[in-house]
Amino acid sequence: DQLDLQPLDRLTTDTFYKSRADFDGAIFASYSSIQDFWGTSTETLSERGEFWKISVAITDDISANEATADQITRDVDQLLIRASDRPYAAVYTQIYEGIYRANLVLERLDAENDLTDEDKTVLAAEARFLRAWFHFQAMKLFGTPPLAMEIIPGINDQALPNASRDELFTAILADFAAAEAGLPDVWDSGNTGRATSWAATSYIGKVNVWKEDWPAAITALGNVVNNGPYMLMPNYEDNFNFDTENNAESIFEIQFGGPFSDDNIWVFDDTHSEDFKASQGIARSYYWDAGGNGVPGGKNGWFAPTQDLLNSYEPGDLRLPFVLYQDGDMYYSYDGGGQIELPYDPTWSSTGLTSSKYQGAHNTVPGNRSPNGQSEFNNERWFRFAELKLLYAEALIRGGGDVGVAFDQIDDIRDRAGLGPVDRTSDPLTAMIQEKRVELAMEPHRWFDITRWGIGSDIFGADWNDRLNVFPFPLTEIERSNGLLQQNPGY
Amino acid sequence: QTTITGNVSDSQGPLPGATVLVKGTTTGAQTDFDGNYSIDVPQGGSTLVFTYLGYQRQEININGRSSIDVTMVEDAEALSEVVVVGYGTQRKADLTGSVGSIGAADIVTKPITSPDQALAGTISGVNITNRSGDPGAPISINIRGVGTPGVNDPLWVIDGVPIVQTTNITVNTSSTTDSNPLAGLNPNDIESIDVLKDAASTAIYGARAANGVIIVTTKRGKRGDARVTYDGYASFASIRETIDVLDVDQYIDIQGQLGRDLSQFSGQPFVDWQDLIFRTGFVQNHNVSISGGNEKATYFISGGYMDQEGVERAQGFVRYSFKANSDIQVGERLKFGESILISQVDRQVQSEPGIFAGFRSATNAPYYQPFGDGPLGYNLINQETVGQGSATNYLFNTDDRFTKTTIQTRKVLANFYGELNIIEGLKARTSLGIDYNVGVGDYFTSGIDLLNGASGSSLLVSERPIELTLTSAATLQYDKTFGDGDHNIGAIFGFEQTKFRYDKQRLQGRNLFNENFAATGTTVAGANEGDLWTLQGWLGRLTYNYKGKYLATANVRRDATSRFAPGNRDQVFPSVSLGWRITDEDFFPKNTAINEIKLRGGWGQSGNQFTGLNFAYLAAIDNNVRYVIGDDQGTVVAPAPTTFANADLKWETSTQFDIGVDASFFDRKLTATFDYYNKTTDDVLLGFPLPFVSGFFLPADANIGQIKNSGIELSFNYANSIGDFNYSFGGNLTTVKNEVTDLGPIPNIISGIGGASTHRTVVGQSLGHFYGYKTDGLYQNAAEVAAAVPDVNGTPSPGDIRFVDVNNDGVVDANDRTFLGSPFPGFFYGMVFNAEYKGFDFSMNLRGVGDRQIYNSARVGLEGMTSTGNFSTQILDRWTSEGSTNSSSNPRLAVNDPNGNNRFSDRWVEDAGYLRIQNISLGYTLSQDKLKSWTDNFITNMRFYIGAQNLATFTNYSGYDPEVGRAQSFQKGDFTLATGQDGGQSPLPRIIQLGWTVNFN
Repeated sequence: DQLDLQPLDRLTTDTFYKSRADFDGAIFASYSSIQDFWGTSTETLSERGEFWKISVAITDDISANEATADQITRDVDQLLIRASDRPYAAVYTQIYEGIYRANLVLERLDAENDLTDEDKTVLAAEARFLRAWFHFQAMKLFGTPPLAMEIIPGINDQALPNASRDELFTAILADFAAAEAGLPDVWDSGNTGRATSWAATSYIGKVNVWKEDWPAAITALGNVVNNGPYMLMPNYEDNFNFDTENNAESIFEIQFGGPFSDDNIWVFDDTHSEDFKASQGIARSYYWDAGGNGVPGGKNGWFAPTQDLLNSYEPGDLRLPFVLYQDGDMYYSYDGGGQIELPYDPTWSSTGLTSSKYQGAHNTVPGNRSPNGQSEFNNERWFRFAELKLLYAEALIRGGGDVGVAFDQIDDIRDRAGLGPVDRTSDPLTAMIQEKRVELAMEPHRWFDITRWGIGSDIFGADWNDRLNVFPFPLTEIERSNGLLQQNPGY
Repeated sequence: QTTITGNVSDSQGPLPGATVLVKGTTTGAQTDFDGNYSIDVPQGGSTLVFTYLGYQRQEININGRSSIDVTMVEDAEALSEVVVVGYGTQRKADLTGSVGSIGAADIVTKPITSPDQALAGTISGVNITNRSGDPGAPISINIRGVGTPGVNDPLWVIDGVPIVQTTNITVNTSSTTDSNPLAGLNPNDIESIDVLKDAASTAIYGARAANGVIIVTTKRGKRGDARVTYDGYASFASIRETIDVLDVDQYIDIQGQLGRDLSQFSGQPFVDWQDLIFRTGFVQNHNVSISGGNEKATYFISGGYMDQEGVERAQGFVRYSFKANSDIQVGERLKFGESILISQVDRQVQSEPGIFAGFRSATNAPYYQPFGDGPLGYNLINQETVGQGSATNYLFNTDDRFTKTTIQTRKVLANFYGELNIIEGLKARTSLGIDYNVGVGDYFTSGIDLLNGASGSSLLVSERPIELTLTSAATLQYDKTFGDGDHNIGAIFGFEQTKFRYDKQRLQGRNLFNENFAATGTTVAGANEGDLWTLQGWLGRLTYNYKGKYLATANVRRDATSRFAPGNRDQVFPSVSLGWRITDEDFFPKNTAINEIKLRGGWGQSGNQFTGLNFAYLAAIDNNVRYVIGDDQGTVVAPAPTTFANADLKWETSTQFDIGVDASFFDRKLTATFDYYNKTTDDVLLGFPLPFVSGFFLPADANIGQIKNSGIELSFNYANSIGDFNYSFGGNLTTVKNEVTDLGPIPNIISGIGGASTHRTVVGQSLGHFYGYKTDGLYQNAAEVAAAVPDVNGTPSPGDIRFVDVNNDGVVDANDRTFLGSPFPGFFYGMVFNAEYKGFDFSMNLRGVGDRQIYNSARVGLEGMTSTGNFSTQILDRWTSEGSTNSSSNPRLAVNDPNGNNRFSDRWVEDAGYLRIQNISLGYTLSQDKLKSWTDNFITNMRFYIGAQNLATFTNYSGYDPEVGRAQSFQKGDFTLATGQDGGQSPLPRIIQLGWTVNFN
């Protein structure tokens, strides 16, 4: 029949989802949605590294560079948060894309396929890990986001209502528990980067910290600290070097690699028809390296570390050179021609400082960059053992556990930074908060701690408004849900 | 039985191919090459009927003669009296649908790039909008409004071949590399363009006719000796005006107030960068055509060359075209023929770094000098040359040695047909149409270092798209007159199949060894795309008229498409129309000023099958999703669906009702046509904006809602002469009321270019209108600020814009956004004047559009007073103190814009109605007698002319050009729901031409 045609450049769901390789690919698709948090796309939403803006630029660690940063960055830096702004839509959509892809795997596991029972157990566990992971991010960002637990076929039935915090915690912990039970402790070298059973345990601990279920948190986090495979890497910078990815400190890490092909960072999302655009790099230096007229490398320099962040470091902290550049430092960047090395000029940045995390002499080399120099292949270390130790400390302190053990966790981290132990008579919570700031500077955690701890007004003063404890749901999502999804108060 | 012989001629000489018929019989003959005929008249035959297309019919009584010579008289109105309709022609007098036509005279000699431009202002109901003045850029044509947010192009049928219009022939993905698929046609080859506007006329094209049908007929050979015609012109294209920007001191002053110290550049020479990028483009066009033939075969051959430089650097358009049409009679009953177009269009567009260079360069720091110590002799961009200001060297970015983007389209458009006269009145016809386009698109960047000091690396992106459309058709046509000519019936029945196939290869290489080949790069990547669909249709038409007084036409088409799921593939599109020539009634008074009044009425349906994505009904998986896994950090394929599969997808159906009057007065000196139309589009194919929680952020193709377009069309023409002075004038006016009447479950669709929220579609208002905040002047003092309604998006100070709390709920928030105008005109009109006196001819064509708005986003940077770039002098009128101004366009200068003065509001939406002198020309034709004697009959005709296109535009619009389509984005296609944004596109050029037409014998 002349009218019965099949697409030339795509497969259909009827023919796919049969072999283990098919399903592995399908689950990788869910992971790939996380890459897009920092995506740069010119289609539909025009996102430009949006997650950095609402997880890092928004904190007191970063100031928008007034001369170069885009309007959204400057607005976010001023705590001007609007439901119609792009970052919330961008990240929201990537989260639910990832959940959809995990749900698709779960749905297809039950259909006719060539999988063994063992395959099915592992794949289901991994899909549930990702579904829980995405829901947890949604909860941290939006407070009461919808729970998407299955694929809905009807085109008019897609909108979902808010879920309560209880519902979210229940679903997320159930998914992570299933993941813990079904995932392997370790993957073979060909599958490095996939979620493990220990990662699920770690998340069970972390989610329980958010839930303030201290006994459950202490149990899970203590289990990881005492029995898990993780350790602090000897050198702080190992966590940010492209050639020490997926190391023993890394619990969950977003993989970037390449070059799959050469191209610019544009249209870095999965929906574009152009295969070559699916470059797998992250555009970190494009936004973070010093930019503006006269700065070599053709970068944007949107985000500038604050003097306040610099001041929070104690003298002699070995971490500082791997956090930021300041006057007197040698500066390293990269363009299409190779590494650029020259003395750092404070006039390049509105604060006189520029981030060096994930950068520096070690990372500004061809092996870590696309040929045109715009994107890099360094993984995003999303959940490090150092953070877990501090979460463990927090659970112990706030949950009535052994404060001495809590101090030990903090001291382990300080020791690596070349700093002495914390005075045991000082307030352990204050010490934990301070250590968390400097250890995880410019990693996407501080904002969510500020909102969780409710200390926004302490940090931002009169600029603070309690509505900021959660972000607004995207305006379009409210509009498209026909009243089903309620906007967060104050937006 | 007797034999009669004779000769048929006209004032010029013998007429080969004229038809001689014995009245009341089927006995006929044709004249030979010398105009001679011989016919056997059966017993009882008493009258001969002589006919020839374009001449008045003559009936001559035999009266026992055996030799009859006839001199035919040209029918002045004959050419305009035959109208091309779907799969045939109809006498205009018998027409019951709404069809508008223009002929070759309205097309040749105009400085246009593609045939669609000829429609500007000439036919009521048809509005064209250029996306950009970049020659070869796409043009939107809307017939009777905008019926769908998806594909709005009318169906173009060229010499019987329905064209699939796509924007597949591009390089890169930026919309600025989209090309007009009709630019490969040489307008000079066109004999006529007929626009089928109402559904009664279009229904026979069924599935693809919902947006109207435009039928192009190219020139065919005329019997006689070879006649050679040369047409050519040379012209200059320039722009209307540039934007006044701040000079060096003003710029330093303003940036100083914004906290940037640029005083080091004080006293530097001022550079108006627009003057460096905009240029006067040279345009030349040459055409030679040859036509001739004998009674058995005729031919038309032409060759054309057009070269048009753009009005900005790095824009150009060159077309080479070759056309051959012929018709060959084999024996008495069989006829074959073909029309072939072979053309090549070489288009250069601005590369990504140079897009909209003319406008964007206006924001350069005005002290930034173009030339200096950098690569290729351009000036570096660094602290010394620009400082804290900002500048991009658009001369460098539009320099071919640094970067170049070219798009070449090689086109073969051909139709072959065979026609068999089975019996008198019954004809069978088969045809095969081919539309074959091969694209060659290259985006090249050299390895030259960049002006900001960054290293360059060479890059070549090579795209090779191929499109093939095969259309095969077979029709059976029957025409019969009986009852002494009282009853005239016509019938046509047929089948048509269109198969479309598209393939694209893309290769991209960086650090090239050989700059001509992408595969020689050190990093090389490839990609493929492909698409295909099939459409099959059965069609039929029945016409009947009684004494030319009562007229009826019925069409029906059943189409089936591969684009929808089985079960949704078929649809029947019917239409009926009736006409009544009231002036032919006995009761109608004769010999009055009224010559003719015909009332028409029609109803019909047609369809649209084009959704954003083919196979949108299938759950399809993209394999260009990727992740990275393993110790080796290798890239792995991560297949996933990226669009929502809607199995229920089906046709969009447009139902149209039309009533009209055709009238002529004063011995036909004045003719006029009036139409009322009402078009309803149901099951509208649109991108359903899914909630993101669905897992998809691309909209899903779906049939949702209803859109209505209604209005009136009026046109008239008056022609008369005073002695040797012949003149005519005419005009047309169309109104369009567009309203979305249903959107199903969707409360509204918010859309915009690049993810912006600037347009809305909602029930009760027009499709894709501008949607944003309303302003109400400026806060003049602290007391007014204190009394202000709180605004969730900003904190005002005196001098800031007062945004209106439209819904009066005590707070200005997203719910206060409101209708700010529509990019689709509420009415448009055209006027034409022609005069001729003793060899001199004059013609002028005006065109206007009204009740239309444009989002002038180019102004946001120029007047927003936040960027580090230069601003328009408009900001010199800004608010400085209480009472200095109350214009919402002139708020105070404020660091970081704390009130959000720059948000999308009516501040940026402007009335963009205009009246434009579209064409004007003055020509002189040499006396034919003298010319023939001077040249020994070698040259038969010669005309010189000077002409201008777009000579003047009357508008209040502040941008370069009020006729703009859409801003640049990385989305291909028309993007109807976010149109009417001026992002600084090239304006349409003003073209002044000097032309020459010569006919050789």
